[in-house]
Amino acid sequence: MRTGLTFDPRTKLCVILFASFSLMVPLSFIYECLFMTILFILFLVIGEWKKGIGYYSVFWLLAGLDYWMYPQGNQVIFGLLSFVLIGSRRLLPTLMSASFAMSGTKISEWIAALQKLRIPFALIVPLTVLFRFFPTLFQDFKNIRKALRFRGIAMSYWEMLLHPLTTMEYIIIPILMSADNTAIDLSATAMVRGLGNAKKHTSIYPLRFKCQDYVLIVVLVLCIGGRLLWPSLS
Amino acid sequence: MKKLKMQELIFTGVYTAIYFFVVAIVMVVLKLAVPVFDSLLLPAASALFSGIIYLLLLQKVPRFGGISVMGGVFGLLFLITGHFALSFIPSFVCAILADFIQYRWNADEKLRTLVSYTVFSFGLTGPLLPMWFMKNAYVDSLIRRGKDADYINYVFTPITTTGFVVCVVSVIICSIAGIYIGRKLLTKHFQTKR
Repeated sequence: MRTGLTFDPRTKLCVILFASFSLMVPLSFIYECLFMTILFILFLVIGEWKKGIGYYSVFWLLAGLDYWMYPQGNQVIFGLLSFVLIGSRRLLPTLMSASFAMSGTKISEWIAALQKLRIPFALIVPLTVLFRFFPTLFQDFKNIRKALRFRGIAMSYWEMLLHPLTTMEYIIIPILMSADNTAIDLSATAMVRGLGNAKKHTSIYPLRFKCQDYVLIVVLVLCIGGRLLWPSLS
Repeated sequence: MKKLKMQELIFTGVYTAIYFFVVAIVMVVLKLAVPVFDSLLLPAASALFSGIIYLLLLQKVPRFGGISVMGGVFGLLFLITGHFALSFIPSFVCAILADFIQYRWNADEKLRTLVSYTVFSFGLTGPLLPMWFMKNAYVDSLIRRGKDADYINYVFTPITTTGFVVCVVSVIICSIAGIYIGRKLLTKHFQTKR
């Protein structure tokens, strides 16, 4: 097992919202570094230091390349490259927060968290089904590819790209056909597990805010407040 | 409005999963082909391929609510998989609009489906919103380094206008084509069963 603290899924949702906030408002470079460092520390705290270092070095690489590129000239190509660099740099926090949120959280925990947040039941059930269905989907995809190869159709990925509509017909139609059966199986399972019960559902994951959750939320709120109070700290 | 049955919810979940699968593949291919501007073409490209899924969903869940649930689940997926948080809103709003068009509009059924699918396809414009913020960040950094603001506006206004027009027109064309392809596939593969 990994060592490190674990966070409540709701706190992780807060981190995602925080990252979106950091994308929405204009930030000076100091703030960008600060926000990225906070996300980096989060990765260290939960023990995923490899991923954290990866993202953090990508951030510095993008920033460095941009600062090196800028004085190179006024041509359109440099402008476009610079736009790509700055754009990807600003998108990095949202990616990072999603990666942080997904690492070490089970799907059932997410579902429990969404139930606590009063998301309507009509949305939670399809979401559960969707996550449950993904492994089956990949298995189906592999089997269909095998069958196609056996028949000598759509041999390589390159060929698949060259004829997208044919590929779609040969891959999506079988998936949809088998999805019919899977859905019927799944609804039988759901009935057995009492998903159709109108009463409140219980979860085996007790969701409680622990002290690290409170600390993290306070830090995030302080960061947002700081950005709003002193917009152009540089 | 009657509540959706459990089985219909499960069918919606399964079709959303397949839709997500298609969108994810399209996204990866576009990301490799046109980096950064991929989100501009994403709604159109996925509209082209997922007409059949939409038609099957309408067949399996022939009631008000199915499309909205699909859009809502997709929005939640956007939220959890690290897209910009407000991406949730277009996905949800467009799906509800599509639902209203599909089940509350008194028109020819084919036309209704066509229009509602077009509206539904616009739900994928959510990931486009960050583009706008990215542009702002870029302009900001240019101004901070001493570029003229008028010059920047002069350069960027045509680009954003063109991008917007390209996005809207391509979505409309591609969803018409997508529903046409979907109908063809539906009659070819799914008619013998029922």
